[in-house]
Amino acid sequence: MFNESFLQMALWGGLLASIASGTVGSFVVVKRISFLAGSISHSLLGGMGICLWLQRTYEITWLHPLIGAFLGAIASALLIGYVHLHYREREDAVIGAIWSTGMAIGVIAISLTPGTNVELMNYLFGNILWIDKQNLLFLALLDGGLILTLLFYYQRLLSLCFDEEQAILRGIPVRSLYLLLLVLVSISVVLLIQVIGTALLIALLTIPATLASLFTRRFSSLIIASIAFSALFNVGGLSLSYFLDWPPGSTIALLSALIYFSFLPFKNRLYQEPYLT
Amino acid sequence: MTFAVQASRLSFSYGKRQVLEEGELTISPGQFIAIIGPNGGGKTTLLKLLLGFLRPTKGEILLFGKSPEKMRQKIGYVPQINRSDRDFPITVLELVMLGALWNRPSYPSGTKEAALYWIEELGLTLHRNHSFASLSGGLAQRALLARALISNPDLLLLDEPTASVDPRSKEFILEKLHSFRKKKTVLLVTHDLSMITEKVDKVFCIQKTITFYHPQDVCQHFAMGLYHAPLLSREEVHVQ
Repeated sequence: MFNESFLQMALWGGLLASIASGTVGSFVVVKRISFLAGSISHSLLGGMGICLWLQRTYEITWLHPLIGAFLGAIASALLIGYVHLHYREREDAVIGAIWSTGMAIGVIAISLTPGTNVELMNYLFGNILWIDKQNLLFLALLDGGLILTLLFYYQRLLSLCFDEEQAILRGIPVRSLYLLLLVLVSISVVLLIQVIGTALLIALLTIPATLASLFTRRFSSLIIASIAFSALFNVGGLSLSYFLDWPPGSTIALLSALIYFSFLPFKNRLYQEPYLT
Repeated sequence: MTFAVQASRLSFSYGKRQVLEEGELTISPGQFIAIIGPNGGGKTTLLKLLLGFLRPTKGEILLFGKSPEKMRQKIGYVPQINRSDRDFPITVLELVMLGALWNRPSYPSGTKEAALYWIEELGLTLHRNHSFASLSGGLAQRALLARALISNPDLLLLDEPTASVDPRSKEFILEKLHSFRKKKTVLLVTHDLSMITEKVDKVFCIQKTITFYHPQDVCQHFAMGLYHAPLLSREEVHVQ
């Protein structure tokens, strides 16, 4: 099946997206910020919708919706980070409001956009088969930036995720680092939009790392195992969707959830004796 | 003389709830201090004020003559074990090394050797590559103590390090802390009065105000749960 060029593109797209979801997803899971990541991934639809509307209405051809997604994701990450750092008492409610506001703006902007609105479904639920060479280059560049940033900040992010108070004692700027982590989440969210869509991408951001945590006792091993699981889900989901003629994004999300649930009964046993180091 | 800890007219409140009021505290360098008091009495709040994580609503704290924020690099802190993320995928060696991390991309040179030294000192050598999650309460507490010690702090703050710990580990931890007398200033928040009285130099009871007691006088009095009663004489304690 992978002899067909569009499927090869999709395969490479899935593998490149796995690097982002595996690495950043590991931080999302251990820092327990899945809700924040979900909010970022949904609210970016606002930026995406506005870009699509501007592109079609004013014929600004270079204004690709992914640029809007990128800007929308960064803006919502910084806003959510600010809320987390300053309004902890009402944090979940405010983040929920950001989540729905971004989505609402996106849906309204797309409904006002002239022409067909097939994009909305593709951005919401993903269409990995749309990936072209330009997208692959975009994915590879963002992956590279993500990895370099993580390599530079790895130890400090580890300290932040494990124990914020200890990180403060060691002179680590936890507030800036927390915002950086949310920006990294935003970047990986944008990378995953085309693979699985905004509505489902929280699955790829959390399930591979959660599953990997059953087998690992080091954070670095967790990241590697998480990338491997993510790649498995992407390639497996893509193949299944091809043979079953199902939407690829939903198939990837469903496959990853099914594999995760099948391991849950063994959770306690694996947890006691992790066998990857 | 520069005190290790000097707090004057120390007050703190969470909103309208007054936790500390006009507290006075002086601790000399090298002293081993126990901090006791009822739950919700302000013990952990006092530690957070000393760490500079909270700012007093009134009064002042000085650590070795400087503000807590400026002295953070000289403080070792062991939080309550139940506040640590026991699911976090990290080995004992990695955890201890984190205590030496600065705001740099990598650890200072010699960090691994220092971590292995403290791991051995605290009897964790066999567990150094085990996950933190797999350790018992006592061993996990030792790992957190090793993390606090790797940066060679002058002031060691410990929040109930002997809670949820088996008696052997409890004795081990207290002996180790006692061995730092004269070398480091140690403040230990605890409810284990019977085990500390022979080891500590001073006891402070935190219950909105800060009251100083001699260890010998305080043990039986507070072991009977009399936080709220005025301090009894030794004779009265024995009669009860």
